[in-house]
Amino acid sequence: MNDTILEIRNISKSFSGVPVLEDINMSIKKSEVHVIVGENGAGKSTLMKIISGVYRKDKGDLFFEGKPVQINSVQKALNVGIGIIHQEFNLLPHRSIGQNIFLGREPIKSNFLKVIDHDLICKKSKELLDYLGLDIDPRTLVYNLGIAQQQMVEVAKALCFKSKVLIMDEPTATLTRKETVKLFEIIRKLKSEGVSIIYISHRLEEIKQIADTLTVLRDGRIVGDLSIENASIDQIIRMMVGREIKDQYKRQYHMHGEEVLKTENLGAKRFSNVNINVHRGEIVGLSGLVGAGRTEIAKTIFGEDAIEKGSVNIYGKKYHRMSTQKATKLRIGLVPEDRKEEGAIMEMSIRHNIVHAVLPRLFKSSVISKKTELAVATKYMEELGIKAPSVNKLVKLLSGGNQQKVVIAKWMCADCEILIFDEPTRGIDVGAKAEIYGIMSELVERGKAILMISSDLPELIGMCDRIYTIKDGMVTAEFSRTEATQEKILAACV
Amino acid sequence: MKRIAGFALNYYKVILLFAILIVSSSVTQDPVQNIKNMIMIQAPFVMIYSFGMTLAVITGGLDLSLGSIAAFSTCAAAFLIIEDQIFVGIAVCLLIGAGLGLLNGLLITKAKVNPFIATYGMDWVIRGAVYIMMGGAMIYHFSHDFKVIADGSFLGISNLVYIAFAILAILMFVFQKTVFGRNVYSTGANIKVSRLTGVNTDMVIIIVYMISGVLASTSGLLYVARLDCAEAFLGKNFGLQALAATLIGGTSLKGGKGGVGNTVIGVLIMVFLMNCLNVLKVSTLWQDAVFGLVIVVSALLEMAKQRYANYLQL
Amino acid sequence: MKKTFTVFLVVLFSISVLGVSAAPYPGAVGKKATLILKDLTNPVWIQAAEGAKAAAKDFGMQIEVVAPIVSNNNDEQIQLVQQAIAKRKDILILTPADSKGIVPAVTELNKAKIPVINLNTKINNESGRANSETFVVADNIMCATLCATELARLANGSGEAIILQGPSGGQVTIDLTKGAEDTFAKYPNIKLVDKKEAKFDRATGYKVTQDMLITYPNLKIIFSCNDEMALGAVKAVEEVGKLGKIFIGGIDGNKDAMASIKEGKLNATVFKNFWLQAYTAVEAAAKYLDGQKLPALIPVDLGIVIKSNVDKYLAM
Repeated sequence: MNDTILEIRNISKSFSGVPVLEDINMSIKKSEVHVIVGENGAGKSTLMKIISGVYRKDKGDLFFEGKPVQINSVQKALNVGIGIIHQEFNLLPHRSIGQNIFLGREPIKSNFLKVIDHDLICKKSKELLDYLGLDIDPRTLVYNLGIAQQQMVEVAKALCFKSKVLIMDEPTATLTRKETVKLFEIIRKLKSEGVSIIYISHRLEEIKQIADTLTVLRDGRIVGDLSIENASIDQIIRMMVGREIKDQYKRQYHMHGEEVLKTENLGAKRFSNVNINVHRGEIVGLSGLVGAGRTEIAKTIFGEDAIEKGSVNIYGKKYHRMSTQKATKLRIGLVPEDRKEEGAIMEMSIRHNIVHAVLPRLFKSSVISKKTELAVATKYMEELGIKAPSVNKLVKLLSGGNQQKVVIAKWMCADCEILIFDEPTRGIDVGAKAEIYGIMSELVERGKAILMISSDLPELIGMCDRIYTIKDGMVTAEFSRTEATQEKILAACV
Repeated sequence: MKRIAGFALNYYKVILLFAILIVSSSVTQDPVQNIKNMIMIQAPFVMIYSFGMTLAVITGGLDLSLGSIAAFSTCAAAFLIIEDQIFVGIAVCLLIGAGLGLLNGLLITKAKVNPFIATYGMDWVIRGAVYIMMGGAMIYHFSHDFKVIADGSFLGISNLVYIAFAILAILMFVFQKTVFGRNVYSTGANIKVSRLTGVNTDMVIIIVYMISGVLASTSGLLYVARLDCAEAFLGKNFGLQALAATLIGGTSLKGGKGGVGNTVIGVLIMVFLMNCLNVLKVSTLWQDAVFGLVIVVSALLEMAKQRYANYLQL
Repeated sequence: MKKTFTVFLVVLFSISVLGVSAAPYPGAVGKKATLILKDLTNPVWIQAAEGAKAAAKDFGMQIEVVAPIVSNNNDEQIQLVQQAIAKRKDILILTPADSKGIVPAVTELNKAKIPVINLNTKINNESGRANSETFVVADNIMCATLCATELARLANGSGEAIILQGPSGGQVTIDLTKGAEDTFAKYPNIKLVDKKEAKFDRATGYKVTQDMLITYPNLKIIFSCNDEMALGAVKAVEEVGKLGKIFIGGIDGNKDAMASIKEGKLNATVFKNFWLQAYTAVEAAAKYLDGQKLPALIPVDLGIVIKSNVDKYLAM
């Protein structure tokens, strides 16, 4: 037991009543690379944020080097010896590397004037960078660095605190293969000097190269601890997805109607050569890791991003250029991933949001009749079961699920024929999820066509007639409802 | 107590307005004439160009080029009006206002220049152009037919009041009752959501700046008619005064909120306050400070109003 | 053909020589001068620029007239001085926007041995390190005295008076206010009741006067530090039907102010003759370059413009 550096006992955490972590027990040994895997939303990041002091746990204890510790702030975690490198870096782009490494704890020349000792910062930063094998002047602005180099600055920042446990959240997500090899070298070097690494990743093939121990999380619980020698990738995938598909997806499958949406060799910034199609009465899924290009495909079809190559065909007509105005006129609707910034106007009322898209069609003379507007908004509020005391309530005061329903109501009100749902159930509680599935099922039964993006595989398999898998901006496979299994999809995505 | 606080916070502007009026009326010998001066002459001018600013602020921007647009368009038109081409002159003036507004709008939407920088820069450019055009000259002694627009009155009420309130009524209708108006507010509140809902946000912003330009020209024209002189210096402080009136009126710089109705109150507070300081024989040196204080305090009160909205059941 | 061309050249040459020999200040011919003004947008400064150019033509000098882009900006004026030094000008005529702020630039000129003719607004030389050869001026205090005296005469030496000022702190406003105050003080029955800033601007002058008419119902005299504000005041007074009962005077002698005097609305203005001021300054420069000694002060004639003599000025 004395080679255990960090022990996690019975940690639980829930957000607004929804349990995210339940009774997590784990121990991290000295100088090991402990990999944690799990689907999106399995609770990995939440767990890491608890360990590093970003979130507070609801229940449970943490022991560091055998002693119980209370970690209630990031500062506290750092002082104890736990550092974290987040997926999104916390660097100030217009400051130098050295200033970033020593941010908030700059050495000072004299106590009286609090003059920052820039020479010392420079010298110490140089030492750290040399240690990491990086030949950069510590006075370089972070702004000028590549992603991999920025990540090294984050590592240097953590090392500077003499962290004994270093958490890395998807460190290779944005790195090239060469940079990844370099990162692994550094991880091994750190390990040899007694630092423990908690490593979170989606990329199963890398895990084999770097991991000592492996923990699989699913739905906020630990489903298995493996030592890496005995684990096969297949086994890991099975453990990750092993959830039963429940009956919450009330789909009825009918014959599909005509093809209404088709992309021909569509290409834009983050993807190329995408050929997909959607028929009336059909839900088509797009699966892929975060950053694979799914959202970009949706936004390009909807006209928010420019088409660079190929075309989008709507109702059989070819479009080489698209704009959001054109798309809405063609009765396409987008329920975006980021509800608060792109979906609904938080500072406006439910009524304003619901009628927003239909306004020009509802009031041909351009003069708004408040009576009609109120009637329409109320109708859709009731139809979708938006829970609010009145249609005049501001959207920001609603729960996530109800906000999402407002966004969907906006497009239903505009009588959209083609709907694109981007992560429609993210951050929504279980009850509201089922309601949204219900709405989607009903829409396709009415002959609408739906393109659905989701990171939640059971949801995707449960809802879709067909699923395309996307990897690095390319379509890698297509599965029909009967063929699709989580294992196959995941294998095509990673 | 809670109710009183809520009432005070909700109607503080109206309360302030009356307080100022009572103070100024109690020290003047002819309060009726004084109030007539303010409401019939001083306020309408400020209102018209402040409306332009307010609309720009609702879209989440601002228009600092109001004053120079007023100067440029009126000076150009004055060459025609002095030759008794009154209607052509007025049309040219408003067209130039719209055209310069269009330029602002294109800079902001298509060239993606920040509205502050775009309109502030344009302010210098246009002001420079009008100096060059006028070469230090002034145009004055317009015909009676032109001057009567701003000098005349009907049923004892100055034409300026009719013009300002006609503009107010049109703007209130357009911005509260039409699809375009709704889109202006939604664009200001969240341009991204609006675009993703199919609103042509670029067009919305461009049209708003054009309206703002036309309003600037209109107020400029009324000044020229009233003071019987077109000159390059006209409206040097329009932009900042309009911004002050807009902010005092409670239209938020964040966009998507407020309206021209609020600005009427803002303008009245501003005009009444300046008058009050004058009739109280307060030194000019103090006026700017008091003025700034009112802007800051009204911003604070707006924030307080939002923060305690639930608590005070506003 | 060649011969005729030579003859032509000889004739041309002799004409130019004759032209030069006709110049009153031979020493100044061909010399380069720079005139730095406060701005080039206000009509009075444009008149000044024209006066300077006319003088330069008369005396065979080359002149460059410049002014800050932001009117009355001291920093820009300093830059303009530095440019003149870099261009090795023979003489500099300077109208400082800021009497004290310009001192370092004048010190540099003194070091560079470039003579300075001071025009219109005095360079503050308390330090003794900002020397100029002469000061050409239509004195502001004198202007104010002329105008205020006329207003007092019209008001029969009694009644309430106000002063409309330019932006506070400006040297012109300070001098004009002092001149007016001192003049009114000589009349025991004239009471100066208020001084109000109206930004040198017609619309503001109009609005402030409206408020003043309410505040001081017995107002008799409005002294304005420029014509723009005075004409705003005329409009406000006209609207309450008190023209002829309240006497209004301005400063500068702008064309539209004179037109207003002719109509009998504005009562007086002082023609500061910026054209003549600048002409005189360039002439002083020419004299200096010709080796003549200059007096410390060269006053320029001022004229009070009133209804009886306005036609004479309008014809100028």
